[in-house]
Amino acid sequence: MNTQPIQKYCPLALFILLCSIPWLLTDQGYAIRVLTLLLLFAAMAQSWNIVGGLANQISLGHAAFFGIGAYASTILLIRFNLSPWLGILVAMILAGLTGGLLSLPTMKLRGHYFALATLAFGEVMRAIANTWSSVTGGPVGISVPFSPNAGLGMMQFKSTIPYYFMMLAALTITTFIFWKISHSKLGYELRAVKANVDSAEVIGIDTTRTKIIASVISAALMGACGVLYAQFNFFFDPDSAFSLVGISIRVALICIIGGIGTVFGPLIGACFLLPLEEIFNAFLSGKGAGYSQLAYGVILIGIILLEPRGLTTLFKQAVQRIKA
Amino acid sequence: MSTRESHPILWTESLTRKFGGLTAVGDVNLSVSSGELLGLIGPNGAGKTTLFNLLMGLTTPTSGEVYLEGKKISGLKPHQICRLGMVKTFQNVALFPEMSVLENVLTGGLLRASVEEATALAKDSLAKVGMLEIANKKAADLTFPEKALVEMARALCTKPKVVLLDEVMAALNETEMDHILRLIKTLRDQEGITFIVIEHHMRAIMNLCERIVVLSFGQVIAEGTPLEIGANPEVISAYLGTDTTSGDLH
Amino acid sequence: MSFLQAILDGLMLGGVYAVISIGLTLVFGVVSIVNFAQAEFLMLGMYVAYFVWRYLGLDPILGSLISFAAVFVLGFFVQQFLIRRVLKAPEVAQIFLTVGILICLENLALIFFGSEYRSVQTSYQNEALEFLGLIISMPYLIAFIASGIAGGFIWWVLTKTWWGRAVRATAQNPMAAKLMGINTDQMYRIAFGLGVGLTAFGGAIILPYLTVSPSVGGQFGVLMFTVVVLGGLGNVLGAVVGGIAVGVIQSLSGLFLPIQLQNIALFIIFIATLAFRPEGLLRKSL
Repeated sequence: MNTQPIQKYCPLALFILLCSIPWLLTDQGYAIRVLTLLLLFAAMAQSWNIVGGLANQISLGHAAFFGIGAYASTILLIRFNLSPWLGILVAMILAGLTGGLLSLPTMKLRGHYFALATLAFGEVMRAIANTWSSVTGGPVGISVPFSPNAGLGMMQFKSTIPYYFMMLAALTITTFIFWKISHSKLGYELRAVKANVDSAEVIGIDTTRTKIIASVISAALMGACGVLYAQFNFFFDPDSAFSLVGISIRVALICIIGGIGTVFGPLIGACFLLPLEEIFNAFLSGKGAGYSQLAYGVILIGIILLEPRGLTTLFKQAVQRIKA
Repeated sequence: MSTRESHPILWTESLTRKFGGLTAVGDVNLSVSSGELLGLIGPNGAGKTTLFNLLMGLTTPTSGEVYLEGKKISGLKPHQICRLGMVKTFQNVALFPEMSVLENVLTGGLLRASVEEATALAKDSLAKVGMLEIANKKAADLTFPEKALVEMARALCTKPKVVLLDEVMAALNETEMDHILRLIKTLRDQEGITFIVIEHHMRAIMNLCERIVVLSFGQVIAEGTPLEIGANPEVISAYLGTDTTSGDLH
Repeated sequence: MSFLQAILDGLMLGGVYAVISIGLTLVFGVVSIVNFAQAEFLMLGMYVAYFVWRYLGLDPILGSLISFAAVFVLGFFVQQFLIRRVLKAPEVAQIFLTVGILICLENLALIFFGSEYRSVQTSYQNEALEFLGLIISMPYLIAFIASGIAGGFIWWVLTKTWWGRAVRATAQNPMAAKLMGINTDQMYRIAFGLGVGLTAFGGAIILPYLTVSPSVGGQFGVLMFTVVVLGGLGNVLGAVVGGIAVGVIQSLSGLFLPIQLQNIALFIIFIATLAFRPEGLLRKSL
């Protein structure tokens, strides 16, 4: 953990850069919307990073927490006119609680089995959201009520710029939390648990408690992101909020490609993957549904076959070749 | 066969562990005094590591109890037992491969200290075992004897009262072994730490331990001073025909 | 609906679930990979049977054999060119490879077949038998019988033929199998092909009472994995027992619980088994 001057000032420079970008773009235009979503997905990937990167548990069901957050806040908004700022608190509590509960039976599962269990959980949540129409509105989805006079208090803006900064704040906060955890006791404990559970136990680490805490934090942050998305997009349905490919897999992939377990991995991964998806969409979705996702799947398979030892290895090799 | 010594810090009552039809540890009554240097020997498969696992809570007993400083610890989880003052090293060394040596050792200190305090404690610990120079090396890159010593340093960071060493000297040369023997004695003399040591190096055991317990097929077959054990015919016959790394029993 | 009726329906559904899941457990048992894309092969099997019905007029029960054959061949090549490359790779790679296959298959179906729901019309679709006051729906019954025959066939192949024994040997100890002269790569290809082919077969025989669309795999994914986990990953007999159990549980829970909770009930069983008895309810292995 050597902090050379460049490593200290890079994040600051990056932050300043990110703050200045929106002013250079057309408001409510395509570019700024894409960037806003990019920042949100980077924040989501950073939340995932806490479990995937520090504890090395590959979750394929993080959409569950995202969806819980989105639905909880929006339902409270519609029924009780509760401000989404409070909605975020509720979302984080509900999502965090769910994450903690889910971690209990899945804790001892390794690799594939953990991925499977989390995937199944995400799918079950999606099925529930689809069928519990009285609460969630069912397959048609929920619209966030738009009120022209609402503003910061209700987390609603006409311009895209405030949303951009909201997502930037989300990314900054989740990144800070990730960084803080990695350098804290919890971070060491998580890495120990990841390496060897028995060994960690024997030197006094409560491995159960450690895993639960990581799961709760990760899930809560994901839930908060769900609220932000709902407020930004004004609409979501079970298939998008609990989406396996669109959220769970994407978020995991962003983090893995960018560098699982690293502080900047999620942002790097998002900067790589999301523009790529947009390019595919631009060229292929004109042809009909399914083409851009197909390209996605093909690229995914391609990357893995190219470098089965790890996507990050591939990326590092590519980066080194570019540097040389 | 066993008399409870004065001020025993650790003792077991009829400790038994069965795996299906096999009795790995059978009806063991062990008593260890505070500050004792106890050796645990026996042919391969005698149940020594299983006994350690039972003491440390990594395995639950089929029957019987374990007491540490008068408190029943059988049934507790390993991290709780560690908190109460006991720690164990692993026969095949269980470091955290992707972390550096220093990070490995300081993780042991996090039990009762902050990261900064644990780091200072870790450096101290590493200096004691003579591994401070390689503090920044990745654990996976170490040689086996280096790993064993680092693991011992990590165990010491938990500020234990009882340390269970499982063949920590297996890969050491004479000089390194002497160093560790002296270290153990110093830690006992200066900090009152109790050591139970599993070893196959007979010279080390005879040199270090005040009392030796001999295990065979899960049962205690002999207990006594090194001289008594060396002359015990049952012990000798338990070892004959089995592989030991050093056949020297004197 | 009465209790007995629910049990009867559950049994018949369960038989089908069993056949679908045997494929998944076979893949895991032999190739040692958790195939996240397995349900997509079910979808493919359904589409094959659908088109065979539409253009050749063959009943899906017969079409199911063509489904099996077609998907077997596909699986053979998927194993050879894709799966084989990640067998020694870290788990992350394995997970994402089969997930990538999942994405590709589902979207290929979307592109080539469109998103409309399609269903077949068969002569017996709306028929039912009456037996001791209980109603036995004809499509259910025929699917159940077909499952039984397929299951029995697989049992015979695995236990009585040389191929079957070779596959099992490879599953238990690939090194020893190689030393005995078995071409383990070939066994993997056969096992994977057999596994996805069986699941495709299962999809085809339920076509008479379901509709097919590119996303139909999603309905069966969690279900298949629950069956397999209950019966023990790699345990073929376990998949049968697990399938029947899941069928009955699903059917019974339909009596008492609203549909939202049925999903939860199944998931709880899935998680509980993974957490408390990951080796499954049975003791033997493949």
